[in-house]
Amino acid sequence: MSARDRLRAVLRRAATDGAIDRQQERFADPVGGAALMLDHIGRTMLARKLVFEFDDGARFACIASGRRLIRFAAPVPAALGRDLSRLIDGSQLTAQDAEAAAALLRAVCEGRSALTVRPETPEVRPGPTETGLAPAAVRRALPLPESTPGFARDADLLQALLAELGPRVRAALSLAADEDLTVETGGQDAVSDLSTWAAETLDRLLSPDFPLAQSLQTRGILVFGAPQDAGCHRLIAGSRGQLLIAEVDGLDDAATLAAWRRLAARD
Amino acid sequence: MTPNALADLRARLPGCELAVYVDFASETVLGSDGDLRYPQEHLDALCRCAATLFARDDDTGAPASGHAVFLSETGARVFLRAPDAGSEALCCICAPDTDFAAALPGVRQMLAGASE
Repeated sequence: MSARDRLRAVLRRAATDGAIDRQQERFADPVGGAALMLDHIGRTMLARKLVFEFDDGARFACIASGRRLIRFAAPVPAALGRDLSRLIDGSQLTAQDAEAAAALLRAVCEGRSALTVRPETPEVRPGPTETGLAPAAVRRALPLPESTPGFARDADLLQALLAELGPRVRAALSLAADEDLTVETGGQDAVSDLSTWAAETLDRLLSPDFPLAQSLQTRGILVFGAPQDAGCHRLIAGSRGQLLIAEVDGLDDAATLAAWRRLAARD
Repeated sequence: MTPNALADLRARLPGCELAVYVDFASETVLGSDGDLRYPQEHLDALCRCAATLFARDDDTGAPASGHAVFLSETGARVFLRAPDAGSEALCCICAPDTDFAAALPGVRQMLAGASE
C-alpha cells in the first residue's frame, strides 16, 4: 500500500472522532436535542462540566469524562418531576440509569429548539472509580439508532492556519477522506519526506494499539518538536476527515500552538 | 527523579492535572504526581503513548522528536524527553489554555536538572 493510500485509510478512521462546537445547534424534537447533548458528551475526553444553554435561556449541566456521562450537575431545570430531579443530586451514574438519563435529557429539551454548549473545568473532578454511563446506552434508551460518523469539513480553518504560519512552512500537505492528497507548498523532496513521515506517524497514532487512538480528538493539533539542529518542527492538525500536515521552519512550536488555539477559538 | 522534583515540575505547568515520569523503552512508570490518584492502567497508557510518540522509524529519515504536544479543545497532552537520559520522558495532562511558550522552557530546564 502506498503512503498516500495509508494516509487515506487512517483519515477514515480519524473521521470517527469529533469536536466541540460552540455555535447554536437546532433540534427538531426532544429526542434530537438529547442526541445532540450525547454527541457532545461522546467527544469529551478530559473531565469537563458541559453547560448546555437553550434558546429560552434555560441551562442544564453534566460532568463528562473519557467520553462518558459521569453525573448530572446543578442547576436543576425547572418543572422536572421528582423522579427525574433525583438524578441531579451529584451521585455518579451507572449502566442501570440509562433509561432515567434518557428521560431526563428528553425532558430538558421539551418545548425548546436550540442549544449551545460551553465546556468548563468541573468543581469536583470524577474519581478514579467513577465510570459513568456510555452515551450509546442512553441513545438506545431514547430510543435512537447507533450514531454513524460523518465527514465534516474543516478546510477553512486549516487554510487559515497555513496562512498564519506563512513563509515558515517548508512543506505542507492537506488531505480529505474522500479526496486526493493535495500538496499545498514545498519542493518535491520535502513533500516526499513529509508524506512518508506522516504515513508512518499516523499509522502508529491511529492504530488500535495506541492507547489514545479512540480518545484523541481530531479537531486539534499535534506538534512534534525536533532536536535543535533540525531547525524545524512538524505538525498534524485537523478535524473530521480533513488534515493538514506540515513541516515548519524554526523551533518555536509554542507559537504554532498559539496560532492554532487563536484560529480554532475564532471558528 | 524524586517525588518532590516531579511535584515541582508539575507546578511549573499551570493547569497540569497529572505528571508521569516514564522509561518509555521498557514501558515502565517511574513516578507520578496528580490532582487525583489515577489508576495504574491510566499511567501505563500514558507511558505507552510516550513510547509510540517517540518511536523512531529509520525509514522516515526524520530526526527524533524531543517533545510532542497534542492540543485539543478539551485538553493538552505534553510529552517531553528527558535530555541526556536515554528513554526517560515526562508525560503531562494539562488544561487546554496552557501557555506553552511561558511554561515549557522552565519545565525543560528542570527536567534536564532532575534527570541528571
